[in-house]
Amino acid sequence: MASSSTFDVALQAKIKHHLERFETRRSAILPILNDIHQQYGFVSPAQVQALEDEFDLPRLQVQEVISFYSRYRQQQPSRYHVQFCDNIVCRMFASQQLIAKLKAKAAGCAAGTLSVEPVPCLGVCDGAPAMLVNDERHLRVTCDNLDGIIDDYLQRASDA
Amino acid sequence: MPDNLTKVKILTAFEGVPDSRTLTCYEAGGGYQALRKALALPPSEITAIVKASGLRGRGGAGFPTGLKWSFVPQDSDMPKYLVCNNDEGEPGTFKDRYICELSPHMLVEGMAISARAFGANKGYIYTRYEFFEEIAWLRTAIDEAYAAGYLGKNILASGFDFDLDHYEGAGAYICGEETGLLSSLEGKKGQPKLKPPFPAVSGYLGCPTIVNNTETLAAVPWIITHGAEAYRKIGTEKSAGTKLFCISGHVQKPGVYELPLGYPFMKFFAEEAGGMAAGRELKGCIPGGASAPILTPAELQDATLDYEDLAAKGSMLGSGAVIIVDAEQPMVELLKVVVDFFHHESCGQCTPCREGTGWLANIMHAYVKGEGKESDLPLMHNISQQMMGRTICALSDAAAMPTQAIVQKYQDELKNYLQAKAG
Ligand SMILES: Cc1cc2nc3c(=O)[nH]c(=O)nc-3n(C[C@H](O)[C@H](O)[C@H](O)COP(=O)(O)O)c2cc1C
Ligand code: FES
Repeated sequence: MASSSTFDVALQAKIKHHLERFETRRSAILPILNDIHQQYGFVSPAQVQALEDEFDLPRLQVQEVISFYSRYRQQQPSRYHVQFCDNIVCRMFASQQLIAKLKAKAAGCAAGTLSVEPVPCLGVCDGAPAMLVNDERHLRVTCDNLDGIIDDYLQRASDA
Repeated sequence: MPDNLTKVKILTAFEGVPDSRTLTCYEAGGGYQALRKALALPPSEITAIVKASGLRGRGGAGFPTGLKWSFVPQDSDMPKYLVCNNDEGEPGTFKDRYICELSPHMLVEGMAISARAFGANKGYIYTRYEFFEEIAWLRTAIDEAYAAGYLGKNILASGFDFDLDHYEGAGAYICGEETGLLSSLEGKKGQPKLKPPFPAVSGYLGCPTIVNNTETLAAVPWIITHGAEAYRKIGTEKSAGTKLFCISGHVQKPGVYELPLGYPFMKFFAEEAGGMAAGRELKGCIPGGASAPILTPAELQDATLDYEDLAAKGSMLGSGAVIIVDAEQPMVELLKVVVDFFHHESCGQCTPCREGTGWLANIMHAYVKGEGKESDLPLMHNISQQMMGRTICALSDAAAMPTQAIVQKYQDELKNYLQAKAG
C-alpha cells in the first residue's frame, strides 16, 4: 500500500495519526482534509477515492464535508488565493474598492497565479480592512499598499 | 455594592508582558496556581464557586456558567466532554483571538479546572481555521502544559486525568452554534440539532458535553484564585465580572478592552476608544456583534455595557463586539451586508431561515439598486417577524432582529435613499 499510495509518506502518516486521534474515525475527516488543503490547496476526486480505498473513509461522508465547508475546493486554486474580508467593518474601510482592484490585477496576471474571493468577517476587524493571502494575514490594507503586498508574492512566484 | 467603574485586569492580566504566551511567563505571573487549588477541592465545590461568582457565558447568550455545568448528569457512566468554542465567527468579534494572542495558557488552565468540576476527562478547543497563527500558539501551549504535567494522566498527582486536543474548523459561521460545532467535531456537516436534549445531557457522540466560549473558560482561574465574592464585586448585580469589548469602525483606537460589566457606553467610547476618527460622526452602534439590533446615538447616551441594560433597550450584549457606524456609512449598504451574510451562512435545514434570509437578501439587492418600494420596509419587518423563534437554532433570529431594528430606526434614511435614486 505504501508504495502505491496517492499520498506521500508524510501525508499518509498524518492521515493515520488523525484516524487514531479521536473517539471515532469520522472525526478525522476535517483534520485530514485540512492537511490535504494545507499541502495542495484543494482535494482531487482521486484523493477522495484514495481516502476510501486506502483508509476506509466512506466517500459519501467525505463528500458531505467537502461540499459543506467553504475552505474545501475540488479544483486547484491559483498560486496565490486572496480571501478578502467583505463584511460589515471591512466594508466601512473600502473593501469593495480593494477587491475590485485585486480582481483587475488578477485578470492581468498569467492564469492560475492570482485569484480573489470576498469572505465573511475574519475576526480581525480592529485591523480592517483585512485579507488572507493563502495562510498569511494582512491588516490595514489600502489602495496604496495593496500593490506592494501582492507584488511581493508575485515576485516570489517568478523567482521560484 | 458591585462596582461597575473600577477596571480590573483579569483576562488581560498579561497585557504588555513580553513572552506572555510562554508557560514560563504564565507561571511567573501565578499561572496554574488556580489549578493546584482546584484539584485540592471537591469537584462540586468548583461548580459551586463558579455558580456563586455570577459568571455568565461570553459566547453570546449569557447563560450562567456554573448552572450549565450542574446539568451534567453525575450518575452517568458515559464519558463527559468539555469543548471550548473558539470559533469566533460573529462579525465584529475578535476578543477570543486576543486571549489566544496574550495568554493561551489561561484558557488551558481554565479548561482543566472546568473539566474537573463536572468530571470531563477529555476536552477539545475548536477554532476557526483562518486563525492560523493563533492555532499554532494554542497547540504550543497544549504541548507545554502536557510536558509540565498540567494535562494528561494524574495531573499534579491528584488522580485526575484530562486530555486536551485542538480541532480546527473549515469555514462555516454555523459551527459557532454549539450543536453545529459538535456535529462538526464529529466529522459531519455543521448542522445544529434540536434542543432538548441539551449538550450537557447529550452532546458530542451522544455523551454529556459542556460547550463554553473561550472567554468564559479563561475567566475561571481568576475566580478560583480570588473567590466568588471578589468576582461578584465587579460589575453589576446581574452581570458580574469583567468582559472583553472589541470595538471597531471609524474610531480613534479600535481594539480589545477589558472593562467591568455595567461600564457606561459613552465613557468607553470616548475615553478608551478615543471617540470618532477625525471627520467622522457617530450614526449608530451595533453593541454585540452582527446579530445585535443597532442602537441610535440617543439610545447610546445612557447605555451601560451589561446584559440587562442592553436587553432593556431591545438589543443585546452578545459577544461584546461593539461596531461603531459612522455618518458616511449608508444604512442600505449595512443592511444588505448583514442579510447577505446570514443568507450565505444559513445551513438550510429550517425553511423560515433558509427562505427568509434569502427573501431579505433579494429585497435588499433590488433596494440598493433603487428598484425597491417603500412597502419593502414593512414587508421586511413582517418576514423577520416570521423568522423568529421557529427554527432549530438562533441564526434565523440573529438575521431577523438586526433587520427589524435598522428598518425601524433608520426608515427615513432608507426612504430618502429610494427617492434620491428615483430622482
Ligand atoms: C448562529 C450562531 C453562531 C454562534 N457563534 C458563536 C461563536 O462563534 N462563538 C461562541 O462562543 N458562541 C457562539 N454562539 C453561541 C453558542 O451556541 C453557545 O451559546 C456558546 O458557545 C456557549 O458558551 P458560553 O455559555 O460560554 O457563552 C453562536 C450561536 C449561534 C446561534
Ligand atoms: S469585518 Fe472584516 S475582519 Fe471583521
